Amino acid sequence: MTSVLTLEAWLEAAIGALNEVATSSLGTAPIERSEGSMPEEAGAFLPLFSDHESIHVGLFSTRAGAAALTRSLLGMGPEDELSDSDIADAVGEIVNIFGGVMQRALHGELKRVDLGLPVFIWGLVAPTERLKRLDGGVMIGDVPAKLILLRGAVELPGGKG
Amino acid sequence: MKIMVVDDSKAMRMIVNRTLRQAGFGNCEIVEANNGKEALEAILASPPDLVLTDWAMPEMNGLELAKALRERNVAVKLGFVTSQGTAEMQEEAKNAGALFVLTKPFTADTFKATLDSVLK
Repeated sequence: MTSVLTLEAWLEAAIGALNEVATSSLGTAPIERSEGSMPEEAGAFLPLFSDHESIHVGLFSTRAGAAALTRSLLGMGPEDELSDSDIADAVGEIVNIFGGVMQRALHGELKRVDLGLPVFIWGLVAPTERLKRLDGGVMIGDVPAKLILLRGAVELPGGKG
Repeated sequence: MKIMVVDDSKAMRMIVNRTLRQAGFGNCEIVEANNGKEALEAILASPPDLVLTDWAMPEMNGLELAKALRERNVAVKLGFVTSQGTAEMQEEAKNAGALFVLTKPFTADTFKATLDSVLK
């Protein structure tokens, strides 16, 4: 058991968790990784806290992509109207669900992982120098999306500096 | 039979509702609450047969709801439907009187198996 994972390891855990959510809650085919440029117009971040650091894991797409994920989650058809609030709530819930899957998957590697509450964002993510970032492009069914991992460059109290 | 769904996410309340119908509980009366505080007031006024509650919510979370019901000696069946499912949380939930913890993502089959066992 370790106290800190690399961002790459967090991203792998996020991709595995998202795949589980995609194939169950969203009812899509297994996700595919994509090396292409993926959009980040709309999405949600979930904070995860381990003993020595905080990680934000985010799922982003276009507005249309976020709406498509919402419809998949809620079992809606393309004709069903969605408000911005509906999309924010549903995408936040998707991130919350796969955050829980990550929590359980990382249980053997980290002493503890606690989940915060999801935050939805319209627009580009602009991390500062205090944050390290790693992206992973994915296709969720027909929806181009991007997983974004942010790690604070400053460790939490009790960290190893 | 009356089932209360407690979650601050409208999307998740919709999903739980849909899953309940898929699991064969479509004939039940389903009522909703946005958080533990709202649920507690509604339960004290008219107890349901089962409470399905999220864990992390504003105002009053699911664990606080379970403890509040126990403190008031309200004998209502309660289980968690939550993203979070560590062994520690399962233990906390059990100690607070919860009958089960269903982790997301879930299926209609897991709902049916779990609910059938507690609603016998």
